[in-house]
Amino acid sequence: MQPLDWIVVATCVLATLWLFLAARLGLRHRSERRFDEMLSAFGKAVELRAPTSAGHTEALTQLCREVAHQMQLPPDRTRKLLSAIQLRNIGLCAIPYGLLNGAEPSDWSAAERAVYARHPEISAAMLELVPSLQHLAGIVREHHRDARPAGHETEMPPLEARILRASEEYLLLCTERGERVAQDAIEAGVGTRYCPAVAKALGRVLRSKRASAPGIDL
Amino acid sequence: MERQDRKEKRPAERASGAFSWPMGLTLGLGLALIVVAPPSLEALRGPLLLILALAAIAEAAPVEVGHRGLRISFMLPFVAALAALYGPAVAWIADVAVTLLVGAGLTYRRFRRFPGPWLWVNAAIAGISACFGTLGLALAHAIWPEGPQPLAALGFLTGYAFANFLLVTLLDPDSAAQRGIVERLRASGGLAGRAFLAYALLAVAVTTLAIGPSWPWLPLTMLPVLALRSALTHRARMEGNYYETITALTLMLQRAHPYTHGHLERVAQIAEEVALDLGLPRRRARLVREAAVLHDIGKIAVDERVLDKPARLTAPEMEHVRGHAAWGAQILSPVAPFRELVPWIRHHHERPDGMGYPDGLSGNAIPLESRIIAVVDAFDAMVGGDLPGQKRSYQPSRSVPEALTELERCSGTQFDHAVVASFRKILERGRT
Repeated sequence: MQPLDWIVVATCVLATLWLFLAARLGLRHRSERRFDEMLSAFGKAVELRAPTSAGHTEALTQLCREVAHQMQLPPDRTRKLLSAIQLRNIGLCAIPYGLLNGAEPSDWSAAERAVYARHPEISAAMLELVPSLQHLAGIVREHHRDARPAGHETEMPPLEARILRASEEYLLLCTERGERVAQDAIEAGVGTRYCPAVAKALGRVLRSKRASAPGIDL
Repeated sequence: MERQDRKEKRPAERASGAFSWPMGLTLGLGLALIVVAPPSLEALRGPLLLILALAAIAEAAPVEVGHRGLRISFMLPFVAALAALYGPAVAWIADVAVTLLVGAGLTYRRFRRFPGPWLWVNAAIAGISACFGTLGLALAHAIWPEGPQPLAALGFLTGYAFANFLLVTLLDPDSAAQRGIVERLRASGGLAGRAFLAYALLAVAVTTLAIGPSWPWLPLTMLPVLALRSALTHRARMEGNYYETITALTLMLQRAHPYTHGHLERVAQIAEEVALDLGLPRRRARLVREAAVLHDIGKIAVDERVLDKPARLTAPEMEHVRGHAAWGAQILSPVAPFRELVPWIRHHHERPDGMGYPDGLSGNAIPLESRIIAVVDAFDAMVGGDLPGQKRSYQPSRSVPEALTELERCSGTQFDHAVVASFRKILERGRT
């Protein structure tokens, strides 16, 4: 090859290296950050519509991350689970404002409970309309479903949904009735409401938390 | 009943119908090329098959950019190298054949069916572009008769890219329905210019390697293709996320307050026109459009019983509704690409006389973009959509002249003078 040819090839190699670095390091990281920012916007919108549901998303994210790690969930599925946490309640925008900001859930009538129970389905239906979020619809749809619902023992919700359900209910019970009651409730629901493997992993996470920081408040 | 039986042709079918004669012309031109500049059997050796295979691989891995399904493939540098090395007839045959075969294969893999007329439209565009590439090649030879082959490849690439850019931009039926020719060319020009530079470098590299004994190294030219593809994929994903966030947030708002359906799109479209009329740059006008779609997003947090109340609101209710401007800004502020829009949304209920909310800004302290959204939003709220669900519950809808009179009455106090004047001009232009 002539010297000019070498210059052409060298320029091409340099441009390739630059593009690879830009794509792998810069753009990939930026695109993931944008996605997370988008999830926070949805989280904020839900928080403003239903302020009572706000507050424990951060603790829930942390707990789910640790349970997923304990269960050796692959990184891409862990990321799916963490994204689904932010979007699990976007369907609340279709639930009457008065219901979300009125009486305590314990005082709701059966009809009001039924209206509220529609939100996972609405959230999932909305996610299905958005291509980059479609893959989360299955987890969001089933995040309040029993691990082994009566009459459908063979149909299990996705593992991510089972982790989300057990962790979220544990945190809610913890806040309302204390750690001991929450743990007992999870144990009592193993095999029906909660997946045994998830409950086991959750128990391990909680024990290791207590061992490393006694008196930790979840 | 005749109207029900008559089926409206889809854009692709219309385009393919309109393309029957250019297809014939393309085939004719291709055959003419083969007759006028036949590739000699002597020339058909060396890396020909390798370049063809690389062209097919590059074509088989396109990237979808933009939110309207525009695809970028990476075959052109290889076709330009073929034109420089083996003549335009070989390049034409390779281009059309690879477009048809790979296009059919990709469609079958994705949808389990063979492609419709659009594939023939693509092939025709490729064929016509290759003919223009031949003109570029001839021009390069005329300017520098004994010039190096990479220069000939550049000549072909320039003619091809020019024709391809014009054809793809002008034949896009969705875009044609919304924007003028100059606007469409300008909008696509940036991406096309950057792609041209990358393709030019690659075409020169492919031709340089293919000339000498180093041609077995040609597969290495797939590395820049992969790098370019990877960079474009990430960019496309980011752009996709941006538009999907807008869509999803709008969906949430529509579920909370169904009457917003239609209102947001109407406000967005006219707000962009007003922004352009007031001399805002094109990019900024597009952002005004996006801000207008999202301007009421804070109403997700507003009680629908208050918003739909068919009577005058009490002071606490009014205070609750007024919260939506600041809540909208709060929702959007975590998303970096929305940060420019956040103040426009926060201040879209401010008034030039300082009586607006949430911050009581006045005059030019209110962003122009917010003043534009305020006028268009107020007009649409007064007039309402065509469907009953799109009328506001708290006041009867007004006719267009009545709403315009009201805007002008409040011009200078509630609304910006210049924006109201521009809005009236656009409305009158639309009517004529």
